[in-house]
This record gives sequence, C-alpha cells and structure tokens, in this order.
Amino acid sequence: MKINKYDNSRKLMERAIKVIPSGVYGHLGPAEGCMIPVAAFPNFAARAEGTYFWDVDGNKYIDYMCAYGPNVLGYNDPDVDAAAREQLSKMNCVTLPGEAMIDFAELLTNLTKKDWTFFCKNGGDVTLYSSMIARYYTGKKKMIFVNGYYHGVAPWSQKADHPGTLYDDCKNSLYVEFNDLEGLKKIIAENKDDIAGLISTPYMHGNFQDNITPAEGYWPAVRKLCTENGIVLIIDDIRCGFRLDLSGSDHYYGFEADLICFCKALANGYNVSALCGKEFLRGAAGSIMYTGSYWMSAEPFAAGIACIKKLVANDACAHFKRIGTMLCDGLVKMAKKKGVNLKASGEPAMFYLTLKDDDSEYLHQQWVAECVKRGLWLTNHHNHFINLAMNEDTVKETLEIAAEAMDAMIANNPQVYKKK
Amino acid sequence: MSTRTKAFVNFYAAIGTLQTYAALDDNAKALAAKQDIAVRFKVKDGPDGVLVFKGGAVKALPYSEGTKTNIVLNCSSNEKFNDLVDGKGAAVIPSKGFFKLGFMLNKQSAFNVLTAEMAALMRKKEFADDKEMRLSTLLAFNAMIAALVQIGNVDDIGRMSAARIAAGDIGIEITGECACTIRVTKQDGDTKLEYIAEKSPSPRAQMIFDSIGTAKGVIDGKLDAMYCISTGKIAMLGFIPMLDNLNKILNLVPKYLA
Repeated sequence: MKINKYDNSRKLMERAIKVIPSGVYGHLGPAEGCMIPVAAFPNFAARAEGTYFWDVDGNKYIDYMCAYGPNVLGYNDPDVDAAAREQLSKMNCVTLPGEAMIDFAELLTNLTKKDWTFFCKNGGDVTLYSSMIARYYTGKKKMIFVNGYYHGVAPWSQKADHPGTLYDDCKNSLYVEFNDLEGLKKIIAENKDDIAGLISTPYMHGNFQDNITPAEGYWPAVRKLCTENGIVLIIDDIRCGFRLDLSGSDHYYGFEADLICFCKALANGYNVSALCGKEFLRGAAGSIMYTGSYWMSAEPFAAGIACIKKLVANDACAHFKRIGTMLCDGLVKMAKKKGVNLKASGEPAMFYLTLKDDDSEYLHQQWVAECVKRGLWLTNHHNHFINLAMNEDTVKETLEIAAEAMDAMIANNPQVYKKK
Repeated sequence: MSTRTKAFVNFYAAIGTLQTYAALDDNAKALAAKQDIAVRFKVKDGPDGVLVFKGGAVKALPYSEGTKTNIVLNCSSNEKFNDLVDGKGAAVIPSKGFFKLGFMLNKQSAFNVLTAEMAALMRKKEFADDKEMRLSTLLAFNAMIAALVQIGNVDDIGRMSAARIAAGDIGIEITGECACTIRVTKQDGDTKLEYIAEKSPSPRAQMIFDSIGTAKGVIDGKLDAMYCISTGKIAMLGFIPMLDNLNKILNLVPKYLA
C-alpha cells in the first residue's frame, strides 16, 4: 500500500503559520485535532467527493470524520448543491429574509415535534442561546453540565481554568456525571430553586473516553426531575442530530427535550444551526435580542431543506446504524485476529474507537497514524461519523487499510505483542 | 496571583533551581561545595522547606519531622517571604542557628552569590557562547517545571486543572538535553503533582521539545506553543488530556515567575 507524503501540505503550513495563529487553529488543526505524530498527517485538503477527500499532495482518504459531522450525505451532494445554487441565483444575504427561512423552520418544527425553530450559524450560537432562554424564562441562574461535555467555545460553557475564561464566567455552573441519577438528585436538592437549565448531549460522546449510551430509564427519570423542579431540559444534539433519529435524539431515547440544538447534519456543510423549542419557551425566545449578520441568509436554508428531505427519503439513520455496525464489528474482529484489543463504543452511527492494550493511548495513536498514512482518515480522540455515501464497499476498503496499518503498528511494538 | 502560591514557587522553583545550577555548572558546584548547611525556611501558612548544601550539591526539600537543620528561619507571612526572595530585605526571625546567619546576611556567602549569579544568568538575553545559552535555558526550563508543579498543588485555578489530570507520569523532555517527570498521584479525592528531575520509565503522556532552541523560544515567549505543536517542534503524545490540563497550569507560570 502507498504511504502518503505531504510536501505540499508542509509548504502551505509554512505560509499559513506566518499569517494565521497556529497555522490551522481549532479542531481541524494539528494540535486540537490530535494529529499525533504531526508527520503522519496532512494539513490541507484540495477537493472532496462523496465519502472521500484528497489533500493538496493528491493523497486520497476515506473520511470517517466527515468534516467533524457536517458531511452527512456525501461531499458535494448534487441535490443539495443544486438547491443552494438555485437559491443563490435568486438571493442570499439581503435586507429581509426570504421564504426559504419559513420553509426550513416548518420542516424542522414538524420533523422534531417541537413548536418553533430559531436559526443561527454554529452549534455554539444555539447552545448559548438555549442557556439564555432557560435563564430568562426561569429567572434562575445556575446551569447543570454533564462532565465530559462540550457545548462550544464560549466562556459560559468552559471551565474556569480555560484560557480567556474568568472564574466568574463559571460560578453558576454545576457538574454531574452522565447516567448518575443520584448525583443529579443531590445537586438539585443542594441548589433548590436556583437551577435554570440542564444541558446535555443525548449520550456521552466526549473525547478521549469510551462513549457511554444512556442507562435504561435514565432519560425519562431526568425528564421527570427537570419537570418537577422547573428546570429547562436542553439537549445538545449538535453532533448526534439526524444521525440517530430524524426527529431528534430525544425522540430516539424516548423522552422530550424542552429545547434541542442542531447544527452539523442540518445542511450537508452549508452553514446553519437551529434551536427547536416547546411552546412555553416561545415568548422567552422571542424576547431575547439575539442575532447575527448572516443568520438569515437564504442559501443555507435551501441547502438544509434539500438535505433533510434527502435524509428522510433514504431512511438515513437506519443506513448509518447498519454501516456503522458493520464497520465496528469488522474492525474489532480484524483486530482480535491479530491479538489486538480494539473497542468500539457509543452509537454505531457515531462510533468511538480505542485500542485497549495500554492506558496511555500510544498504541492507538500509532495505529491511527498508520491508517492516515495509508488513506484512511480516523482520529485518536474523537467519535467518528457515518454518512449516506458510505456503503459495503467503503467498509471493505476500510478494513483492508486498517488491517495493514495494524500490522505496521504491531511490528513497531514487538515488546507489547510478542506473546500474541 | 496568590501570595501563598508565589511563596511556594519562590522556594521550590526560584531557590530550588539552585539544585540544577549546582548540578550543571562546575563553578556553581565548586561554590556550593564551600557551604555544608541545611537551612529550614518556615513560612507561616506557606512553604516549610529545607535548603541543603552538601558536597557541592544543593537540594530544596519539604521539611519533615526529624530532618536535621542548622538554621531555622521563620517568616511571619508569605508576603514577607516573597519580599525576602525578591531582595526587598524583609525580616526573618531565626529560631535556630544564630551564629550561622552569615548564610543569609553575608553577601559573599555561597547561597547569596549562587542565587545572584543564577538569577542574572536566567535573565540574560545575550550570551557569550552556546554553552552559556544552554545553561540559561536549562535553568529556566527547570524553574518553569518546578513552578508548574507548585501552582498545580497550591493555586486555586491550578488545582482545578490538576484535579482533571489522570494519575500517572508525564514525561517532559528536551531532545538530547534533559528529561524530567511530573508524577501525578490521587489520594482521598486530592491530586498531588511531584517534580522528579529524571526521565520516567513509563510515562503515560509526553511532551518533547525537539531542541534547546525550541525550549528557549517557548520559555522566552518568542515561540508560540501551538505553532511549535503544529510544526512538530513540540511533540505531544500519550494520554493527551493529561497534557491539555498541564498546559492550563503552564499558562499560569509567567504570572508567578515573571
């Protein structure tokens, strides 16, 4: 198998580093993206199609990160792109919104069984807005977070030691563990009548840890506690939304959120996020001045409508689950044959992988690096994503690359695998 | 910035780096060898440590019952101890070793000369040669890691970050130059960081600087750490959340070591 070289990526990085902090900042960059070692990873992409992308050196990748979620149909989906182009030919960012905004809001409101939809751009826009609504509606100040959470980069959702965040930004934050109902009851009792909202992802898909699905009865019990104590229940469905259930992940796990945040899979890469909510919060939502220069641009709405319709038409969540399960089963089985303990956790549509033969993740990082060098884009720290363009052939191709990469990792660690 | 944390940093990182200085520099070692003494710095509500000069080596250790000392210097507050270290001449009250106070009071004592030389070397921007630059960087590197450990153990925000670091060894290394370990232990819900001036046999996470130049650039603030990671000048590997949280403590070091 060919081993990738990244000469052009490195040249671009040299340019980028001079004019952009860190060269590539955030989750797509080498640091936050945990590109370990950096030598094994490219820095820039040149083009993308379906479930593949090509870097600036012409190396091709099967992409299980899907742009960290937005690629839900396949890159350059012809139907979504055509809808976006058609809308662009009429209008995009104008002094008044277009009809597409209403069309998209009607679609999402009906699909998610909520009463209204509010649009922004990024996931962090809607998670922040949801906390503001909860605080305004309840007149209370504290928010419950579930440890291992990520709800965006704004200070309200950070810990006090995060650079740029103040201690005061976090003084109304309370923390519980996922699936810990007793802990939740305790925190509610200790902060009686002072809690505005509880925000959580539908299952624990935090980074650097095996992902945890909800225990039997967990969510209905959380729902009941929130209702009894006047706490607004907010589901951050930014990552999971429309990958587990086209009515939202609260529907998937059998409960009803008061507010639910969507973004990544909404429009197959066109930039829009949405907050869907229950009737009793409509007034609060409308009373808060919350807006942005591009939030009512029409092109992403048109793309979103086409995207959601295609997901519905293709029973996409069933496809994600089937392909994800096939892939995870195949990877774990392949690893086991080689004497490697690979664990897949979380929902198959958004599987998380960890190699369990050491507690430091060195071996896992090496295997992922060997995969990337051979054209299989996995990460060592984050859940992955399935899209509609993936099929049985994609899985077969993936398993071949993953197996060769694993052989390379094993050969580099004879002290660990000598007995196996 | 908390004065209590500053006092711990002053004892274990500012004064404590004499240990590295005497170990790395022959002249410093010869000077240290002139003194054979154990001085206890007992700061009210602050560090209670012993600085030991013996056979040319220097050690800064936490005081424990039974440790033999020649001088006990009492400081009534962290603020006064910090003033003392900053050369503002704050009074210390000796409760033992009145006749050996030349250690502190005599400007030509090995302690005072070494401290002054080391501080000047660490502040230097222009160097006579590579050897001097290397020594200055290694001293600053040592002080940075020693300070980080104290901040993680004492400072409120630092403790918050430390609490999220998993137990195990974090290896920090300048390729071909030096390696040290931050050992993280957990007991009764408390997290303790310990600085060990040796390479860990089994680090759970590692931060490796590719050269002394990179380490110097980062310490001097001339190289952005994220730039270094992006370009491979700093390699981070292993259980990354340990390093993520360690870096948050590292961000606090300039406040205390300025």
